[in-house]
Amino acid sequence: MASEHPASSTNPESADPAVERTDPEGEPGAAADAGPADGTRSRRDKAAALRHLMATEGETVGENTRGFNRGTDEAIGRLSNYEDLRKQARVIKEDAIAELPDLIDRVTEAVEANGGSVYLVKSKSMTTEELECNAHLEKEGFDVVETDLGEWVIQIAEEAPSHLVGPAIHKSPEEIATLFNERFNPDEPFSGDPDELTQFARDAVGEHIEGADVGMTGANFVLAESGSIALVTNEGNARKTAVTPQTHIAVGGVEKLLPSIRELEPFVELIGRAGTGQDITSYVSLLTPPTDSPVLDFDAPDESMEAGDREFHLVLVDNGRMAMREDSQLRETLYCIRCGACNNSCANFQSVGGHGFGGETYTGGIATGWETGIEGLDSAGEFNDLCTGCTRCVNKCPVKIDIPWINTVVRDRANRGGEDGEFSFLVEGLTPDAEPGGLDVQKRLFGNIETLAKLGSAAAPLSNWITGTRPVRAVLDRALGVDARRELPQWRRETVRDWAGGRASSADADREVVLYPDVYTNYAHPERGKAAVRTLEALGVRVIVPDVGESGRAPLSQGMIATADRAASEVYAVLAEHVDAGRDVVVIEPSDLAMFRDDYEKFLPERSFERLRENSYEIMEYVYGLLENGADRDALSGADGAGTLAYHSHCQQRTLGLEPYTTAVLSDMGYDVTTSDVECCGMAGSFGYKSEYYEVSMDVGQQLEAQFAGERDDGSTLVASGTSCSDQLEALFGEAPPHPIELLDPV
Amino acid sequence: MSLYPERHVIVVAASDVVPDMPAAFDRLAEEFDAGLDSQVLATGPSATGDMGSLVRGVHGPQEVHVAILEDR
Ligand code: SF4
Repeated sequence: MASEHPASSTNPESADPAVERTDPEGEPGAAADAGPADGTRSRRDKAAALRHLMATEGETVGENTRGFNRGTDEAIGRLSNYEDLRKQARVIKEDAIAELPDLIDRVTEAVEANGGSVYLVKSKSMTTEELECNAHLEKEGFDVVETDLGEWVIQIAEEAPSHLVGPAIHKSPEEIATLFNERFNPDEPFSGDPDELTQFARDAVGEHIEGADVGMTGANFVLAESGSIALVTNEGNARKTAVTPQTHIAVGGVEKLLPSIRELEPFVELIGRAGTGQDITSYVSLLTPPTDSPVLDFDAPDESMEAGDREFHLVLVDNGRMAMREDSQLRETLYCIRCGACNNSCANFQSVGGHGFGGETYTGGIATGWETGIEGLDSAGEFNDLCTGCTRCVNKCPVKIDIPWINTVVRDRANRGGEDGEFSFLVEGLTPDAEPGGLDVQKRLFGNIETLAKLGSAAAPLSNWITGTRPVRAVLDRALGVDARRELPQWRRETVRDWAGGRASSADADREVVLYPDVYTNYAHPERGKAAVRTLEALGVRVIVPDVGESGRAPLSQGMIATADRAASEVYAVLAEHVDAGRDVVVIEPSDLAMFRDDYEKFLPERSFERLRENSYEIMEYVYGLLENGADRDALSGADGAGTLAYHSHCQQRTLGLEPYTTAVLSDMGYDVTTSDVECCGMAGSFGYKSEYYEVSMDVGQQLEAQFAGERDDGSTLVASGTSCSDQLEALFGEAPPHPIELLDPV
Repeated sequence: MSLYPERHVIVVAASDVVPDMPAAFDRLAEEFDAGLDSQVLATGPSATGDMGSLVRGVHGPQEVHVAILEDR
């Protein structure tokens, strides 16, 4: 993408026509070539590519994104009406996209009345923002210089952007210094001092702007009524580029349209806070070109040109967007304001950056929607599996986009377009799912974990011995992509259901609940199920453990939507009977609770969904409620002396706002509790078991390890709510942490 | 234009200071309706994090001073 003549910054007299380009939101100007490229590439090659990215860019990306992410948390914390603003922003975007054709007509009228012109670009035949605009202009002999310093750096480095708003976020100051030293050969080499580098870049880019014939900008928002564009920046480059040269070309996707200045407010309040943790960016420029202001001649600054000879061209890019608008699942993507919050809050993104988790143009979780709509499924399919559905981006998105759902939908579409797998016979027959034959065997395996768990439990402990042997692990790794470095779950012969069915429950209870026996609790960790039953009984609750299937979480996480949908109906049929009988549903595994409280909205009729949502509880949330309502805490076992705990909550549990119940109960019982604040443990269900992602998952896990290392040295007990989190903590610390409920177990 | 000099001094009447963003937008909307539709919300020196840490003074000023005139 980069200019062939970056050195022309030292030659402002160049006769070449010059174009300055700026992108207030860091919207990339060229095709990526660093991302995974070949759909058929093996798991091993993918692992190698990600390993390379983690080694070369991971540290810098991690530092920068975690910094932004912390800033976002703080900025959101300072804002009392954050949720209201998000709702407003969401509604405004929904309406704007609904009336998009009308807005296009209105903006065209307004810009033309102002004296400018509007072009609607359908495909990427000519001018597009997504792709090759620079390359195209350069081929035509223009000298194109990016004016956003991050864009400028990657233009010089000839690299693709690695982040939605910080395109050079993967480069350290030292690397930028080396790049500048090689390119510009300064008398005194740069050492990596950010002030010095900025000064140099500012001057070099500034000279270009002063000599440019045309300034090209993006637009964060386009206001139809007045024909204005809004540019949101910190550097000030966009306005300088827009108003210094005589001709201003603004290029933006059609989805940037808003009706008028009145609808802009919530976005101005949200975009900086969500993206970089700033209450507001340094500049929000509202420009309604062409203006009458005279164009300054920098060679003769005292003489100015006549007023009124400025030109303005607004290029609105469709390039797949109008089709996305018709696609009920992808449509939401068009509400995206490219703030970057979903890049920063993503644990996998923090490890691999946008060169791994990103496509041709866009990066991070939302890139899946953009790339599918604009480049096609192939581009999105290459990185889409890096979204584990942890949901940590969901509460951060200023326009409330369900980013994990978009990733799931696209994964489902990719699954359905896949080729027949070479090893499908290994899992065929084991897999009573509703998916197409070509589904990747690895996904089919993890999506059908319940079937495996049942078989494994029935044949335990033999099944565990067999799957624990080296030759079997090697086959699992090679054929099914189950990484041999991971411990497999140990299935138990006696399940929680077996155990509960064979014992007398306390008779004189005040209330009755059903304990949902999730696959992991039931078949692999019955001790936490037993602890839950005994704890609830001690608090005066009779517990029923029903015969009910897997919630659909496992297939959903593999993009097997039809299978998840079927599971949802089956599970609801069983649980609804209990809800009808006045029993609450208590859930141990947070990812299953998240199905009942959130994902089932997609699968069940609204009333059914609401009933289950309102009547299901996380186990520690339920215990908290019982204790608040007068249950006897002395019936439970508490901390003997000064028990200190290092507690890692579960990603989906935190998104649902449920972590505080666990910490409150544990503190109440006398424990001294420290919590982690990493976004994810790295395991994320099946993700950490997959051969191609094992190393990413361990890299993510290292953040958690670093957080708890001190606590461990001080003798704290590790505690975790999710099965995968506790598997990951076991891998990191060599010891399996209990579920919090086990600490309350009266036995 | 306020972007070129290194120091930007803003002189503003106290009566033109608004309490918050909603008030600012009410006023912006009025002014847009009146045809004053090129406006800038500038909140401080220009800044970048692109070179590795926060640096003030990029394409805009390095320093911003605001003088508020009371009784206006
Ligand atoms: S999807 Fe939401 S969080 Fe992500 S960049 Fe778009 S607006 Fe920001």
